[in-house]
Amino acid sequence: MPEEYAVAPSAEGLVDLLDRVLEHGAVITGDVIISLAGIDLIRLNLRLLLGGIT
Amino acid sequence: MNRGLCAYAITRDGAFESDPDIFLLAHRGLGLVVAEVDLVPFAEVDPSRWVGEPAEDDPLVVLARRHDEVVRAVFEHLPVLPLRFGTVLKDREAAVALLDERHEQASGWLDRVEGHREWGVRARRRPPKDDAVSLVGLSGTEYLARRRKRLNAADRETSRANEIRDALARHATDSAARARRSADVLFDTAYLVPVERESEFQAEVGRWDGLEVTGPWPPYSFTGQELSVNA
Repeated sequence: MPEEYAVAPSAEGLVDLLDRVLEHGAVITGDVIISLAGIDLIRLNLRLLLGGIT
Repeated sequence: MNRGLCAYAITRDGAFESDPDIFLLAHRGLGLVVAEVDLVPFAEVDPSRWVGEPAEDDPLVVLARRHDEVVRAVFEHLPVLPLRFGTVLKDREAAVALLDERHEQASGWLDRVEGHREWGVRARRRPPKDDAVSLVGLSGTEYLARRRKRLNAADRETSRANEIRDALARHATDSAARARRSADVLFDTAYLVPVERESEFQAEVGRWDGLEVTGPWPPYSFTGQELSVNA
């Protein structure tokens, strides 16, 4: 499968990546998970930083 | 506890090429892509120190890129359900419990995205031509005329957005609106496109002026679901 980008990854590409990896992805819940205290804080901070208009 | 089983994606039980520390825990035809990781770097990321956009060597960026690389390595060979960054399981029993309890949900999802890739398309607002002109000091009639013109221009931008999105969606299995990161973004939409229709999709993108395209991505923007495990 080709890995070329239609548009070269740019600074904005990094934001696209962070948004996808940190804000999306299926969430697993339940006691099988080790909760990382810092991670939720990251999301909150990231949302403030990257902005986002809904 | 400084180590854990970091989970990147759920996929089918199959073969892919990745780093030696990445392995697949298989159960009932599904596989969980995992690595034993040191949890200390996860605790050390501190986005509150960022000024503007994070740098490439920022610890969080390094970890996020790593997550994406692993998901992509699997995605090259198998359908994937990407898991949210920072998913850490207690142990292998927990992984098996996840694959067992959420077997139907995960299998259904993999069936849906198999043979698809995600493409991001973003359009920006075209600034109205008289945008620089101040409305201050105009007569009442002039002000209203100017204001109506701007509102009409905004309406035209909205219709243009709908027209583009409808045209692109005809070549995709699904689409998902993404959060707009700045006011000048008209829309930011992710499309789940069958690989065999990508050339038509790209051709459609090319028919419109000034669209920004990113991809191909694993289907990150279509994963809005929760896998609840009560082991």
